[in-house]
Amino acid sequence: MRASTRPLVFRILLIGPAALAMCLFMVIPLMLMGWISIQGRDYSGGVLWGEIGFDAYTRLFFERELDGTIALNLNYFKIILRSIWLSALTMTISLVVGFPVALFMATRSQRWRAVLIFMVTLPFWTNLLVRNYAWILLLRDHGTINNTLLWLGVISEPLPLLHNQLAVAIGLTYSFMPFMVLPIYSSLEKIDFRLVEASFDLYASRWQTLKRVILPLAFPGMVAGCILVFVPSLGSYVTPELLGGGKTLMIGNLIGLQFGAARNWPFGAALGMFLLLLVLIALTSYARNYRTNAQVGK
Amino acid sequence: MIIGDAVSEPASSTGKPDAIAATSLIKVFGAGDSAFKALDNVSINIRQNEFFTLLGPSGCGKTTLLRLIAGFEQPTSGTILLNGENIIDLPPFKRPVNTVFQNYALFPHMTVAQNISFGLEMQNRPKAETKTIVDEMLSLVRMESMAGRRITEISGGQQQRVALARALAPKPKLLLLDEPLSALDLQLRKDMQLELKRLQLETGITFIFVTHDQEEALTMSDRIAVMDKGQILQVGTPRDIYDRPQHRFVAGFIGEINLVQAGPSGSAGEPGEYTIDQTGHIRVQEGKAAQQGQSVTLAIRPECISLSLPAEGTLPGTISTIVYHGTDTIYHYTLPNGTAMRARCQNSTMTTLPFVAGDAIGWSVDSRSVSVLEDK
Repeated sequence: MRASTRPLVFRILLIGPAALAMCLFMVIPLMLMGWISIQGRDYSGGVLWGEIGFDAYTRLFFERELDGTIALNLNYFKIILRSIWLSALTMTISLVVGFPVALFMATRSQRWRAVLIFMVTLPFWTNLLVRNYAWILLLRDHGTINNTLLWLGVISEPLPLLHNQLAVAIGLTYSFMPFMVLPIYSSLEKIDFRLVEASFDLYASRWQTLKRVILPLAFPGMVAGCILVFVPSLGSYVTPELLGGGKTLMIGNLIGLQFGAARNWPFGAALGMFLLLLVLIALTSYARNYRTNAQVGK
Repeated sequence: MIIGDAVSEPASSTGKPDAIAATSLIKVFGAGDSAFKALDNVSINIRQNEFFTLLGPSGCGKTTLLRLIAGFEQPTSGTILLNGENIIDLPPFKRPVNTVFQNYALFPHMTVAQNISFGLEMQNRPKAETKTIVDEMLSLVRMESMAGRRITEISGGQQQRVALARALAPKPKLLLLDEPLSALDLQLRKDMQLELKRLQLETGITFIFVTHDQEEALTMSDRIAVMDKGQILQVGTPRDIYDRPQHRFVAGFIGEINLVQAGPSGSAGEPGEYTIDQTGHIRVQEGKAAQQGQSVTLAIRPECISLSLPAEGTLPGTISTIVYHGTDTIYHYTLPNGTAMRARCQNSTMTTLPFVAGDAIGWSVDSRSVSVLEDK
């Protein structure tokens, strides 16, 4: 009420810095990227300004043969699909592994909770790059895991753990797990555990109580966690670069490649816009889901 | 002929076993120095179809006892039989007992009808039967029009009724109610008291009701157990508890009461006669008197005292204050030994007492209205 009576200038001054920062560092670069994606390609890097066209977008799915005919090319589409698949896998593993962790945390005493939250966020104290290198040391042919298994005699040949999709999924899950655990924890923490007693009282077993009472009430946290894991996984760059080797490109690496070695800026920008579209679809489906959830409560 | 078998047959054909028979229940929370004995050797029998109330101040162990029966807590020692069967080892979801929680604990992500059907679904009742029972319960608590509402969209009193319907729907052998009315305002509470009594009579289910409100306990219960410090002090009908308290705590907790120290009436005194120091002799009904020669506390309800002018057969006192209360007047007076007393006299034009503060009066009480308390 009081805020609205303040002079307009004052209000503009208050939101000014944030609006300016958003404008400078998000809106303008985004528009620039959109603009670049419809420019002509300069084979020596950069763009040919003014040669407007949508070649970069057609390149996502089609390629121009030497004779000028246009043919379907699903190579890039495969990379996009793989990115979605790996992100979905990461999200699923994080959810399955993260939920029990969050439930365990939420049912501890107040003092223990603080310690556990601290422990969940501990990996953030180290650089992402360093953590991914650590996984290389663990997963490589003569890394900790293979050496241990060889020494124990469980295997005779090192297992191919590194430079495949599994390695990427492990790395991504490890990196983004806290983003799953924390929102679920925060929604579980709000649950009145007398509801659990009420459920037991009404003949629900532990499993039924989990399914019918705890999971529905933790649902918003689970959806938020899934979004928070899925979106950065989709755009991840470092993990597939280090743990995936050359065979497991994700969109992020493909974009990096276009602005680097491939010198195709418009295509890189078009891929970036496409990635943005994917994220927007994920977020809108979440928003819609959440709204119906709030109404029906199912 | 062997007739021994007939003799060994249980006596259940004549009377059903008690709904609850709890023996020597002890519950200790914590350990070491911080250990707290919430229940201290509690034994209690609750009959079939009874409206039984556990009454006591907060922290007296009444809720703990309820939670032991429901199965949310395990007793440190002791047994609980439900209809003659030991239920100690059963988890709460296997006990045919339902609870109405103090805060209702309704599922916020479900509608009114979904809350009520929850217990039935968990018992895997057929869909058609579930629906019939839910409709029946909705009309029992007069919530038919609210079936599709969410829990957050109904009022406190309505939530209370849904909680009742949810707990009654599976037709439990026993319904536990943990201060279910404490969150309601006065008028609603009075209505719900009647409603609860009606539901208990209609369903024929044994109710165990926990409250700290003595008036609630007196108006609703078939029998009351008064608890304090983890122990049951007295069990009886509301009239028993009110008219014949056996403990100083019970007397003081329920209603107003005068407590007077009295000694034995000398060797020559008749049994059942006590002497109040500097005041005189007072008779109590035979059978109620404590052992001969013992000092006791006498408890007398203010409304049982008759005041008059000092006269033969009355005990002396001096009026200190007179407080007018509309339907009645409270006369505060002191005995010659300094004990403060209260007498409650109904106001009617016929019996207006002409006293003012400072007047010497005479008072008397029917021997049936004097309780002899064990000093505990």
